Amino acid sequence: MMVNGEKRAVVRRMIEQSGLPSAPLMMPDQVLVREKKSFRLRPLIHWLAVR
Amino acid sequence: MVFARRLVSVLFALVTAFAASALGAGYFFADGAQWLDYIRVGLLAITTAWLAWGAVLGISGLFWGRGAAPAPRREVPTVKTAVLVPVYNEDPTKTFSHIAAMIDSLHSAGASQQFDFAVLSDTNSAEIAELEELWFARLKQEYGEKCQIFYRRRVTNPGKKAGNIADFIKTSGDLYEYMIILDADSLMEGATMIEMVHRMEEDPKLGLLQTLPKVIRARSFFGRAIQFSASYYSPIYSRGVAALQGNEGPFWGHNAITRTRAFAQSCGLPALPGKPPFGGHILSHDYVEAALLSRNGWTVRVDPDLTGSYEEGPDNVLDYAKRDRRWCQGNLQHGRLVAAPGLKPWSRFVFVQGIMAYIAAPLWALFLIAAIVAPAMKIIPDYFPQPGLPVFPRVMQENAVALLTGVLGLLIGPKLLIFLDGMLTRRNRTFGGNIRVFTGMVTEILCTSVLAPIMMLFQSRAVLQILSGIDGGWPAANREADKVPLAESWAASWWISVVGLVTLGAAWQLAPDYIFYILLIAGPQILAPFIISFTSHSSHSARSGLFQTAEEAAPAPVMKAQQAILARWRKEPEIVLEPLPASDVPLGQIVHN
Repeated sequence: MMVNGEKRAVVRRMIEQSGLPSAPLMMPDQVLVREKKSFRLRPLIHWLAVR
Repeated sequence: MVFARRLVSVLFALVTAFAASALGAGYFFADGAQWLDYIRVGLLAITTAWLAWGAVLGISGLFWGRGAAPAPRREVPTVKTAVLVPVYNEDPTKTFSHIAAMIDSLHSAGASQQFDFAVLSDTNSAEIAELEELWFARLKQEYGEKCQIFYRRRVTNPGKKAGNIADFIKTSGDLYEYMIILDADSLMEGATMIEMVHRMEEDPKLGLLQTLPKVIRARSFFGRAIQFSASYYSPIYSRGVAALQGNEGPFWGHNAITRTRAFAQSCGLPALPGKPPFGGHILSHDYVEAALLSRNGWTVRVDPDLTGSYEEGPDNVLDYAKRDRRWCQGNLQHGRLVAAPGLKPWSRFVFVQGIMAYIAAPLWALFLIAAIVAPAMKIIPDYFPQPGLPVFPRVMQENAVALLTGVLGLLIGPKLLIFLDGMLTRRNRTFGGNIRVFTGMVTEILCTSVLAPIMMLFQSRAVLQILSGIDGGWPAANREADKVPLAESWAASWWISVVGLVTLGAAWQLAPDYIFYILLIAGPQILAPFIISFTSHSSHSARSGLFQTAEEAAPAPVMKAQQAILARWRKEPEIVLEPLPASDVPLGQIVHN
């Protein structure tokens, strides 16, 4: 398809005028991976250590 | 009720797997049990459970959701819906002809002002991007008065398709009650889109509604076999999926409508820690988005009765395998998400199903290897456990026959039942009549039987690559593929021939008794380059009526419109653009400010 400079300018302008309208919506990232739990026996070890 | 259906279905798969294992064990252990025999029984149990699960979906679909579909509503929706068309290095002439046809269809229904189309380009080829702009200008000029059409291109594409949609929501999501998410090759009747909005409106808890897109426009023998299979069997299988879905139905990534706020609230996908293939952006985002919507209390549903929804498929084995490689990586990545916090148990099970869809191939391959090696590992039986007459071990041939029959039954049985159902309900008439459907079914079964050993190796290689940490990237879909020359086919599949030859040689040496059965698998593998090339050729089947589908026999208006627009655009590719006055206000602002 042949495109001259004038046509390209018209196309460019149409593209600029066809940009998405601004109406933002929040899209928070979801939690997908479980946080690694710390060593479950640690409280017990602490409890034993002070005795 | 859904729980009972799920329970019965899972039990059916488990009982079938148990029965297969029992038959297999009887046969394998007849002349003494080896450690390899236990592995064979285990592999047989897993793979048979997977086959049985596929069969149960087909059988459920024959009994559930058979009622006539309600007539689509014609009232114009009062809310705004965005129709999103993500593109990535696609042929813009073709993609935009689809959009033009859908706009025409909506316009005929008087609803085009309630639907805004947004082309969301992730194209990174400068050449294609320039063509996209030119063809967008033509689309806008010819159809811009009927409907709002937007174009946005991301120079980089973080998050790939999911990131592309998320970017739209973060930019413009607040304007739209609903979003219809399409692919570049999607096509939908205006009436279907309107009906989808009405179904969303009548159920405020419905977060996402999926349609079953029919495959159209296949040209090659391979493509037409897939198209026939998708058009004839898939509606029944999707009714089976619907019977078990409850509130945790599927999302297949396109040809679906979603409630914008629900999607925005639930489906922000972070990159997973680590590098691809298991870390980084989520590739098969659709399954994850469905699971996250359900986690947040939204219903996700597939309505198989929604017609007028279409897509195109790969036209040759190599493009099919390329797409499969991407899906395989995405599905295996779900292994990290099975334990994600708060997911519904069924969503976790869906992830496992997706993983099994690809793990099954290497498991079958392992079973085959074990079957070849096992006879060589057998110890010579003790023919004289007691002095006197010899005692010969009993070969449980009947077990092997029963096992083979059962496996074939699981593979072919649901298809035969769907054919019989088609005879009784006269559905076969829309596919050209009973004889034509039967011929198509038998040819399709033969075709898939020949291709299955080849696909097994493509999928096994994909799984091994991914487990080895090799990232497949994000290749663009080749929707206009021409036939595959033999040289190209050879370059892509010579290794399959080698594997086939090695398999046959090993069987000749180690398991000569099974050489016939092994030949059924190794034969197509040895001939893979020829088969791949041959099946990619434009088929005479269209003229002969083989693999005829209902959509071919009676194309939908939107299909005819798209073909006409594409033909006109390709005949007159020059764009005659009217100069725009400098004071033009962006159209988006006219409507929405």
